[in-house]
Amino acid sequence: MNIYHKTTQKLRRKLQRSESLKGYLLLSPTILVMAGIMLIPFIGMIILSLWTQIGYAKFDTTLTLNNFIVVFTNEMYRVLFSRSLVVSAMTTFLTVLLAYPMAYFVAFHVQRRKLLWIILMTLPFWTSYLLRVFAWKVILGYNGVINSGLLWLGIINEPITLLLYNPSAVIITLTHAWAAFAILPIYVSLEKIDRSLLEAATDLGDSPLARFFRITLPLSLPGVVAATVLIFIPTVGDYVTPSLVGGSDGYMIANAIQFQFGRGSNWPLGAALSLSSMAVVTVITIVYFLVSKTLTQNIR
Amino acid sequence: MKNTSRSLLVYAFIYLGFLYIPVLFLPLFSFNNSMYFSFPLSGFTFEWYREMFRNEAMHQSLFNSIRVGGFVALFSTILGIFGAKAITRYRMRGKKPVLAIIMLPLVIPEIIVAVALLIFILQAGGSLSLLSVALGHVLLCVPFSIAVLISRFEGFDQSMEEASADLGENSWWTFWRVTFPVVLPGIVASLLLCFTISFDEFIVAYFLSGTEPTLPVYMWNQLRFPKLLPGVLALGACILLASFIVIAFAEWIRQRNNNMALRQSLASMTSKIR
Amino acid sequence: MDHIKILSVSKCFGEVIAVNDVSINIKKGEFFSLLGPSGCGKTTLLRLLAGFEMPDKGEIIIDGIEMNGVPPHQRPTNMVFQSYAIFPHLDVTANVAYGLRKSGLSKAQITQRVTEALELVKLSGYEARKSNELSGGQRQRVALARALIMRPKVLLLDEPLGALDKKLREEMQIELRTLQEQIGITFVFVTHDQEEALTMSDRMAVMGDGIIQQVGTPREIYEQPVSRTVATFIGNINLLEGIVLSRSSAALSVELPIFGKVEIRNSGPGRAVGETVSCVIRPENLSIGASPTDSSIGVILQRSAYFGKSTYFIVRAEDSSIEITVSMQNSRVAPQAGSHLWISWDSSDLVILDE
Repeated sequence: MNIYHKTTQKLRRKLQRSESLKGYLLLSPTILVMAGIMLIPFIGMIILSLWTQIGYAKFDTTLTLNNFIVVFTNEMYRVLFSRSLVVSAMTTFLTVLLAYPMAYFVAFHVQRRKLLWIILMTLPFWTSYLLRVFAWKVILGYNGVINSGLLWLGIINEPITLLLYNPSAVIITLTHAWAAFAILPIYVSLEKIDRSLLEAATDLGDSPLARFFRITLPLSLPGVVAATVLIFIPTVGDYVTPSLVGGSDGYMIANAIQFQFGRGSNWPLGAALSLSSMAVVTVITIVYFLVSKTLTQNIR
Repeated sequence: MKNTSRSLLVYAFIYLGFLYIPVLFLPLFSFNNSMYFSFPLSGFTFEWYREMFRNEAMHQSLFNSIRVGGFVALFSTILGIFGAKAITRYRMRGKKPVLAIIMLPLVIPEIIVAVALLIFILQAGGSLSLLSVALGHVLLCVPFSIAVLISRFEGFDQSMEEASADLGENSWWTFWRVTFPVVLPGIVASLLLCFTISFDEFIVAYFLSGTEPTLPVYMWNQLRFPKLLPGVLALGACILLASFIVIAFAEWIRQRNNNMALRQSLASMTSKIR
Repeated sequence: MDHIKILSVSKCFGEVIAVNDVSINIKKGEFFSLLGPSGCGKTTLLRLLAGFEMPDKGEIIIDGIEMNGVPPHQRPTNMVFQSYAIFPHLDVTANVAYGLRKSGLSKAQITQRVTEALELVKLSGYEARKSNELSGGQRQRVALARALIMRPKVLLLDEPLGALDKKLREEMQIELRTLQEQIGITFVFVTHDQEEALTMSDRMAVMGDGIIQQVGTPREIYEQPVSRTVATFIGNINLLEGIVLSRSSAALSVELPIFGKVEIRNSGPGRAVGETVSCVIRPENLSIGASPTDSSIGVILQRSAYFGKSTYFIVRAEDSSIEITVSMQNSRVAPQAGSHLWISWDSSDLVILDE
């Protein structure tokens, strides 16, 4: 009894002393669930990507890199990859560029009722994502708002077909659909800037424009970087927008992945495509992070 | 300065127009007496709203989405509480890499999460159901929940829990009497955010829902059939209105509390002067 | 009777030794201060008493009961936190009554106890306020009432006055001391403010680098510092190195710069002739005048600093570059830098440090 009492006391003391142990004990449910539904499926996907499909739900389980060779040599996938990256990069750039002045306006030029403006900016995003994308089909379509409006006004005689089913339509739609993910991080980073820094810059002789480029912009870069990553990564993998407004010219890599898991019925190839696109996105993101880090250091 | 302010204001209104106009076409066409979305509008009708109330399949998918969203919100927030609490409370070795792994779904395209889970569930011999959708959504939501809760827990003064222990409460009662009420606003925010993400999520649900569609999956299937589409628009308009009411209500409560605090502090100031 | 016994207690955080082999006895009903610069381990020692930390080595005994392994909620101690830790979602009444949940008291009795506690800390009339509607001083009173309502045997206070402005702090010092005498329980008070510790304590311990430097009454600590750390941490002091010329049973004869040959009472360890010793003397124990007396020494004024109630004169001897500080109250003359002055002292005010 005494020995038992002593060992439990020892254990309890050890627990009380080791913060790491207590922390991980508390964190363990979260880690276990996240690892269970994330890491294990990923390992499964890696294994599957090394197999070969030989029939419906039948696989040859000899390990081979053939699927990856297909992904990296097939002309079609190269086109889809580069188109996805270009479309996402353009979308990200445009979204951030358009959202920045808006966030700047609310952060620095709205004195009262800031919250009202924030609600006003984010309210459209309470509409279903699908419907927001679909709205652009309604606007840009053959019988859509722009065409029927222009016809009604007599500016054109027959509907313009150039509006929909191309990469530009995808970019416009995504720029609209992801706007909130640019406005909010940029707004937060602008709002955090200590106003006395701006006064100090003016006091030291900066014009408003110089002050913006030397103080405000560099200090808001963390928000810009966050916005960029939050938009670029999901849009590369978006499947809805290219399907609805992209047409065959606007197909992106996510459509190819979906095809392999759907009608294409080549799951190992689909897995290889998924892993490759993830790898590409990760590498780009890391490079971007490093570049933006050195850039902000240079500004300072 | 004045000029900058004015041109920025003009820009702000143009930008708001860009954000709002596409979205506002949806409720507009939900009252239009035609299944085609073109101008000029042909006439006013409530037909699509009547259609919405009749459509059993749509009700079922809405109900599915609410069930999944509720489960996901609760489960993700509980996991988020454990995670955020551990991260803000304890100095742990290797905290950064562990946190990075938990936050990883934020930087993985959704379609890849969806495909990985699809492979896993089918290879493990499971079948697709609302539960598999919910699992996928938990994966997407936990990072958001942790992010929201960490910012709330960070403002939490550690000595409040110690004060409670010092006044005789064990850790269970301390949690219920001090920690929980203080972080409650963060928990509510996390629940709302997770529900919203799950309720609106399409890609994971599309791959994993099997024969029980969630609302976005149902909508997706209808987008190809013009006949049923205006009913979907009517539902979209209703959801927009409902979320607007929720936000307005939350804001009203916040303001009222602020006013109360203001009034009380005014009263205390006047009493001090006297 | 020793109420609290701290027996060679040590506590490490990773590589850092926060508390290093500390032993202190605190008497019942005593106002005891732990004084030291930030990071010296005084707060850790207080948290060891409260039970938020467990010692790596050593024992803590409160009221005859060994406290190792006893969690905070089972100890006869209560704490006033540096941040006050007022629960923001509860009003003053609920904050003060927080610890009475399991007391078995009726609602009326609880209300009665809360009213008494608030009266004790002079906060009646604030029952319904939330913490964000209270000033710093009022929060401090709530924290005090919340701890005292538990009727602890020992009240632990972690720099409770640190966040208050100077005037309020001085008022609260007197009030806290009066309150402690009124209720008669043991207070253990952590502070980095040496004046505060000197004014309030019955006894105090000076800590530095996790080690107890000296324990004693404020007068002992101020007038008979044992080490350089204590001497320089408490107040302004002149530190001079001298050589022992000769020794008798009770006194040393020491050759000091400026002062020349002086006889100093020797209470510390024995010193050999020829050894170097450190001597200290407080500026206020030196007197300064414009004309010589029988035992004074001539000095040159380097500069002076005016502090209102007193003036500090920094002087040096004609043949030395070592400076010493002399303080004088209510000086009506303002001698110019470079003028010749005369200082004198009582050699019983010179103290040899035991290093």
